[in-house]
Amino acid sequence: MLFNSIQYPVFLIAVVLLTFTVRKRNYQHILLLLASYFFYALSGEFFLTLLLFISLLTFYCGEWIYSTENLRYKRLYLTISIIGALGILGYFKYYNFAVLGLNQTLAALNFSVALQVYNIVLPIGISFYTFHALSYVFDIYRGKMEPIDSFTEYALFVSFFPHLVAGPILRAKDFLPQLREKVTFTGDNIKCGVTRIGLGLVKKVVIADNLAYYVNLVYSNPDVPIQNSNSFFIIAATILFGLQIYFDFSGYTDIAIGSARIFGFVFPENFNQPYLSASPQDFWRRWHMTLSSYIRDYIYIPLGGNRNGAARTYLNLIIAFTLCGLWHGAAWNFVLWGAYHGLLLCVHRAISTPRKIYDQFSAISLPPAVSNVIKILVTQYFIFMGWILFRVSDINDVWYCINRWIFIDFSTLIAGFTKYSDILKLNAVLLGIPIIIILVLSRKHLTIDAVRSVARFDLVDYLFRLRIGYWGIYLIIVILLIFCLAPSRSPEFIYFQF
Amino acid sequence: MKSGEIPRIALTIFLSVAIALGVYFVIISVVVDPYLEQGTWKLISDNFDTYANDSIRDQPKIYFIGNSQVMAAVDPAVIEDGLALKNYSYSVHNLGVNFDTPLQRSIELSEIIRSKPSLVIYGDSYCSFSSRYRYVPDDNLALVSDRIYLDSFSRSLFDKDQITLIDQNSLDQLFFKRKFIISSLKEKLGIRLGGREVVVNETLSLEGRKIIAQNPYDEFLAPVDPENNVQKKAFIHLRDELNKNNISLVYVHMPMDTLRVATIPESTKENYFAFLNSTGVKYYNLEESYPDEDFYDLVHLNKYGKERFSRDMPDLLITELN
Repeated sequence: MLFNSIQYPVFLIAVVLLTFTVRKRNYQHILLLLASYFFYALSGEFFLTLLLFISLLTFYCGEWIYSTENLRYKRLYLTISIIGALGILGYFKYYNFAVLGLNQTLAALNFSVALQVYNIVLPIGISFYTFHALSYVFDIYRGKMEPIDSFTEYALFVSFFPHLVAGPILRAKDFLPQLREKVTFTGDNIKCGVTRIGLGLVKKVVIADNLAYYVNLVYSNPDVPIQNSNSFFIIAATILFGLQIYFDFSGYTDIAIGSARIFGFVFPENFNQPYLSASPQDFWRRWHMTLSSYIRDYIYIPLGGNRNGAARTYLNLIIAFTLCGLWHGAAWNFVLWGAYHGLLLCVHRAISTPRKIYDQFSAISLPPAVSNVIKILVTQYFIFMGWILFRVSDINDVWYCINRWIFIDFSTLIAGFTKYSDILKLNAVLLGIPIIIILVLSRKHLTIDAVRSVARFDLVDYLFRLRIGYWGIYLIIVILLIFCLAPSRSPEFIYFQF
Repeated sequence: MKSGEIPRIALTIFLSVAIALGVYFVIISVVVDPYLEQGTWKLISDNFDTYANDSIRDQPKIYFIGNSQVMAAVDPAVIEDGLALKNYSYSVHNLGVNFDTPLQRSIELSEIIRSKPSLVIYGDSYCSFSSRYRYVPDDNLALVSDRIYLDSFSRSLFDKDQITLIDQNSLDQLFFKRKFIISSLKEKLGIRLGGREVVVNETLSLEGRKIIAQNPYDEFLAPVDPENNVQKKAFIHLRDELNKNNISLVYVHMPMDTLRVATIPESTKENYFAFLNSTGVKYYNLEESYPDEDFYDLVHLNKYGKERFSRDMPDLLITELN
């Protein structure tokens, strides 16, 4: 069931009403668990058994890790849970990728052996719930939390429907304590949750899905191969993809956070204006925050973090972010994307270390605001270039696109796009004129501080505190925007494939 | 927040949805529906009206189906007059549709059969049987979905997304129409779509025709390969179903300008005629039967070409009717 389908609000209202009628906390949890399993079963009943298996495995491993004093046994139970959970993830997500790579290597070495490739369907959300579940055993192993007695509560943590298929990635120690309280519906929570869901839907179906059309014109156009595109098309499509993936994923996150908030649960934030980040490190503090902190706490720091010298730190960054890329999908472009971000972090770390290259520029004195804008622009140039790696459909197109991104060339034949020129011009007019009017009218107020204050403005907080009549108008506008501007075919959330 | 707030919030949500739905309905009725009186989907809708027209149900009739070449070439009145001169009383219907394909036409198949025409002339050219460039636009399925009945084989030829559109109900259709809100605005800005009448009086300049001929993305250049594809399967199915119901099917390979004929690859010609021969459907090759001055562009006849083509048709039809 998709968050942007007509079935989801019906399902959500039904679950809210049923939970509202149940008085006891335990029964509420059972109800929410059954609802979450029902939600997941709609994507395939078999997948439900995987979810249940991973929940049972990590629940009991957590208990065994905690109950034994023997470090070897603790490690054994931790290893069992990791192998069990990641083994399932590995089989469903990476088996074919690994086998194809191995077969190609064997063929290159003139071996006539080829391993069998299977038609494996990736269970929706498996990367997310595997990480949810593993955070529980990791935190128990690290002594950060104690196991809980109730399997129902634990299973609900792993499978709670708002975060089940695409996050945000929850930590057991943050969510399980919230289950200690009975679910109580309050006006504030409902209003805030619905406001957030509305905003998320607008981001997803009105903005991201419409941007997808233009991105796909360049990146997956059956009529026009990407190598017919000049720099203008590559740059425009890549920037639009950067915006698409942001609005798609942050829209999904808003719907997840809003849905949970209706029940009184607080989920962690996943985004904090990532395209205003002034360094790669800053970017990863603002983009998919729950994943980046997970990678930091459970991969980068256990590898040694920055504690063993510069060379080892760089290696750890590359390993952690290559795995982060691989987590996104079993394809070389994701691996490259992760490694590229690892490399960006290394380069930034090297040049920003005191008394190194960074100091060479300290003689050039720029006003802080200008310097900050330059830092943001330079950072975003590289972040958006990275989206090429993420978006390309064929790994062989990577070099061509990167080349066109770096070495500007407007001369390539673009005859294939003439049939789209009409709609492109129309939308340029429809979008461009209001933007120009806004810019002209607000030219006197266009300062860095003004942009920052707009970016920092908490729209959800403002909207949900509106008086009920005005809030109703907000809802009408949101629903009308969705009804009128959502494309007829809404693409799936990008992060569903992960 | 007070405890009584929850019912107020619930009521506000309910009213907001109801008001938004009402406003949306008004937008669709006032802005989109008039706009949808034009466009390719409307041609298909008109075709369904023709098939269901009780006033001609029992009349002997001949259908011309196919792509925009048929739309441009067939003048039913001229053909009817020509038939009448030879004592054949048939009503003739130009049911051509822009960018038509056998797959798209399969959505009308059950209604064609139900209306019992004496003869169906399928006019098209190479691109009908290409697996490239030829698809069924969403609108042509979604906006007539309530009138489509597909048998199981035809159903198997469409992909999952297309089947979803075909299966949608009236409420889905209402929401599908949202995609035309921007297009309606586009029309208000002065950019208009064409209707059924594509007849034009004059011929494009040689220079203009050469430019079209050199466009490698022109769909009429979509190659036909020897492999089977959904268009070929749909055509075979159309043949079988019409034959099963004693309705004659004749294929007309439509006329083309010499510039266009020269740009069609030999392999496409070979594969195309090989396929036609394999179907056993009788066909007429009119590719080079009309001079270049009878064309508006490279594939569509102008008003002189239309007149000539329509005057030529009665003899062909009488041969087939006998």
